[in-house]
Amino acid sequence: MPIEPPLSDQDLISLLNQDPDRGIEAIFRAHYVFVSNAVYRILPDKQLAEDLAQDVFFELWKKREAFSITTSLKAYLKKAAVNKTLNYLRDKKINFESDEMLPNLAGNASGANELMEIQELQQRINFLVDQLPERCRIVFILSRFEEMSYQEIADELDISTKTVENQISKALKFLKENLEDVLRGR
Amino acid sequence: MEKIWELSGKYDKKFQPDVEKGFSRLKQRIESERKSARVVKFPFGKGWKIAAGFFVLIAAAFIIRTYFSQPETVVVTTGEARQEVLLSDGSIVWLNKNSQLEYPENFDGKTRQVSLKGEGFLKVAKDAAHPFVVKTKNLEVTVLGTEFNVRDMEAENFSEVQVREGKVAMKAGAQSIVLTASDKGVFNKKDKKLDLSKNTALNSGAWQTGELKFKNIPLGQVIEEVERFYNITVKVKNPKLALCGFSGNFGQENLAEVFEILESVFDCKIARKKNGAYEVTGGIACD
Repeated sequence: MPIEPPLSDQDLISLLNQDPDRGIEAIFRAHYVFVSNAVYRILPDKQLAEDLAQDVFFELWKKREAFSITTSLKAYLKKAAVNKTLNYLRDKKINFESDEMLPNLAGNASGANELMEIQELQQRINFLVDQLPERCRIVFILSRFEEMSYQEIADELDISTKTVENQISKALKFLKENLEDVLRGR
Repeated sequence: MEKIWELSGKYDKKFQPDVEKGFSRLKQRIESERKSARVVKFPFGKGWKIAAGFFVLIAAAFIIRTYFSQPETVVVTTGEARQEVLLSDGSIVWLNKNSQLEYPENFDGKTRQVSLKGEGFLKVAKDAAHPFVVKTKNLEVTVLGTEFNVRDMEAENFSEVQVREGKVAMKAGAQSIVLTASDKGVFNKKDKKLDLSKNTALNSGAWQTGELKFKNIPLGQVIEEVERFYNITVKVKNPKLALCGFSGNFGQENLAEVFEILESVFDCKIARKKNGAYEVTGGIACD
């Protein structure tokens, strides 16, 4: 089968407008993994990430006839994914103010062993961020990766900026404690 | 701290979803949406034996349309026959006799809302971002994706919701409770009280599945369910018998067979009176 050159954003969007079945399929295949991971980074639940990604593409399909954008398709989909995720968090009414305990990886034997076994820095960081308690992690990710200001995060999650600040400090403190050796070494 | 901030940026947890499966799923959802409301006749379940072997279908569906594309509402009303309704999001509603369901052809907005009169068993498609809301005269039931039964009959003093699977928020006026699998919420229309019962017999949907299931349920309650299922009145003379626990399933049996089973298990006699009601006499005693 001849390899077709990837369609440009404009081509994809025209296709979606005029031949929605083929258009949505092309856009889906090109960006589903990306959108799923955009959600997954904030909510590390594979099923949920896919559910919300499905919603993003379904809503796009609903808009098919009149759909047009000024930014890139990827940027649009990323924004839609993050919005869906924030809506989900809002609907779930998670209490971000409540106190969560940080795992004690030094004291807890199995935690410490697990950490020791991860030599590679990249993997260590992945491991540690995922060790953060649920709500602390979400706030941290929104700040670090979604480039949201404290105020924006506070508005989206309906909490105070002080809570946002506390959660992020908590996360950084935890990471610092468990990456101490790395910092010293490098 | 800056170094930590920098290092944390390396986080890159990713996963590889199955794109093929993902696309099939999206396609199905698009198909559902396209078909809009498909109205399907509900076939009588195997547990039902009707004398003449025919049934009268009195079901009317009114579709209100305008020239402009406004949200279109569909109304499905059942009389003597039950009906299965497929909604645009893939949810299924089995409407019991003498009931009515009102729903939009396409769901849009933050919630998926339908109105119900009478009784319906719902299997709601999962959509975490858009809670599904069933409104009846006295209740408002909110779910994310689940299977449950809602009964709010004009002539009865109680409205109730029974959950088979999933989680449901039930609201009556200002009161609100959350029900999970095998919970039952009962709203007393007279004194306006909303109550939650846990681990109830899962038989609210029995009229839909054609099966009655009991797991160590007091006979008194079993009799109530049998009454409802076969549309008869049964009186248990011995109150101590009513407390005896019963476990078993009724699927293929007709009423006579059900009574035979109960008679032999509890050593009692079930007879039909002149007025058409049944009476249970004798039997063992439990407390």
